[in-house]
Amino acid sequence: MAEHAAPKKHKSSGSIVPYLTTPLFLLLLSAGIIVLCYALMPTHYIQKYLNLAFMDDLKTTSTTAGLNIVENDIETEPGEKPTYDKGSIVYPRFGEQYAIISAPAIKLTAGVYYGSSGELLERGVCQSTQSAYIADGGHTVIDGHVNTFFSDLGKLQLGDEVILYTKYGTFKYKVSELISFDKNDKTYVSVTENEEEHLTIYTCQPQVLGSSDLRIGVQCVPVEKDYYFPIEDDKTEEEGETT
Amino acid sequence: MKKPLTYAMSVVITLLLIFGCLGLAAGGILKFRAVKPQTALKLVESEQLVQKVHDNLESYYKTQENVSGISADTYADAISTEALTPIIRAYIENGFGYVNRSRNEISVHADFTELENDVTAFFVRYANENGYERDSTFDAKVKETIEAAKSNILSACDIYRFRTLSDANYLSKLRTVASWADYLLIGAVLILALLMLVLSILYRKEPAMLCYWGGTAVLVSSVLMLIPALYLQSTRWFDRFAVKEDAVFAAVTGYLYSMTGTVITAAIIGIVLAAAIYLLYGIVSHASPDRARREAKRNMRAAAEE
Repeated sequence: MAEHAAPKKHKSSGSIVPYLTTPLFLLLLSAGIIVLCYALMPTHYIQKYLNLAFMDDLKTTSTTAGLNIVENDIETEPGEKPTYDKGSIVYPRFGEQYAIISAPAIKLTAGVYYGSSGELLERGVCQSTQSAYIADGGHTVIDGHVNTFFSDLGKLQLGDEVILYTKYGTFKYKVSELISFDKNDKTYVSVTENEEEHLTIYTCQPQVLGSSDLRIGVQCVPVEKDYYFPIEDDKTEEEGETT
Repeated sequence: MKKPLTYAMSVVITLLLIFGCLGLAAGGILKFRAVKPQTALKLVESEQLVQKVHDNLESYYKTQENVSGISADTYADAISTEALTPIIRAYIENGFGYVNRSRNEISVHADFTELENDVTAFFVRYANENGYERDSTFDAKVKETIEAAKSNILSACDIYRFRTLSDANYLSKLRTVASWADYLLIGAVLILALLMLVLSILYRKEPAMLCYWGGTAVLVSSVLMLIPALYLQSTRWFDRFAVKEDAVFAAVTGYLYSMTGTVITAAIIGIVLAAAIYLLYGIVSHASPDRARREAKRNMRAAAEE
């Protein structure tokens, strides 16, 4: 009888592990490539506009289209609190009342909200989110309704004092220029980089029988800055000196 | 996975397949969803955008009463929901139409006859009651008020701010990007076809592996789309949108969440498709005879016959 031909031995088809781990490996590799491309590509322009468009990082829900209004108690009489010529800023969030504006010459006192919306303008005056934070260098722009808080803004004169009380300091300004401009003219309200520090406050010009296209206001220069919190490096130096 | 070189080549080709699938998904979503006005038009109803615009305008004119002296009721008919709805819809159709190149301008021409009549009637009544002379200054004032109201109403109805985007030259850039959808789709299809051809040559003796690598590419690309989309949706990331006007906020964030939902849906379809391809791989690889086994069986049969 013929011998049975031995079946040819063949190699086993291999472990199942590569089949299972390959998709995970590819997932991590492709995710890594995407992150690397994002890091290497010049996306800073897109990032800048994305940050501006989606800057409100409040996560709590609210009744008014994502607006979370926060009222703060801000001292207008700091008393014996130590102050510094340079200091840290406590950055506000959109919808937060982070300052009180005072102009003794026209008996003005109003809350300053960060961000501008119809609801905020009903509660106080608003700082444009595109402008610099108060006393953080650059151009700070504040506007309000003429029929509420800024009804006497047009009565301010050159040299009048304007004070901004915040959680992080008290800042005094002096009116340096009286301004009026068309609502479409952005000369006085635009913000550019490396601008000298100054403050612009404006409102609509009151007009009977007709909508107001004219804006009136003042530009102010800083004269005194009293920060409540020193910059971290200065604080360390002071502590080092005292020990 | 018998040959390391074959495995490495397969990994590289599959990596390219993954990005091809991502390109195909991006092109498809851009062409068939993102630039079509249907999503935005549905949001007008679901987010009650017309009511929000109306409330905004009503509040504005009530506030303006003290400043302008013009009663808010003068504008009531012009800012009613019936009057605002066609303007809002026209802006959406024109804006999206401009982006997808079905229209060449975004301007909306609305019928403001009622507004003109109401404002003129108010001014005439005021002039008669106060003995105000109706001279050229008076006429200029009336005309100025009407033009300002038209501009204000049109601006409020432009809830996606197409006019602002156009003035800043961003709308034309969006139009250019939208035009790439066709190229992206065609390019992705061609690249996918080419890569599958290369894989089929590489695995001409093991056709089942085409299903494995193809399924892996679809699975990985779907997961890459799903994870960030789920993050955006679950953290309500778009609520960070800085424009807090009710209508604009609701319109823009509603649209963005809708697009995120589309990406999630596409990703889930991709995962299901990948599962089906893996199943096919299992079936094909089981049914496909191993050459050595075939030969062994033949030899055994031959030996048995002898």
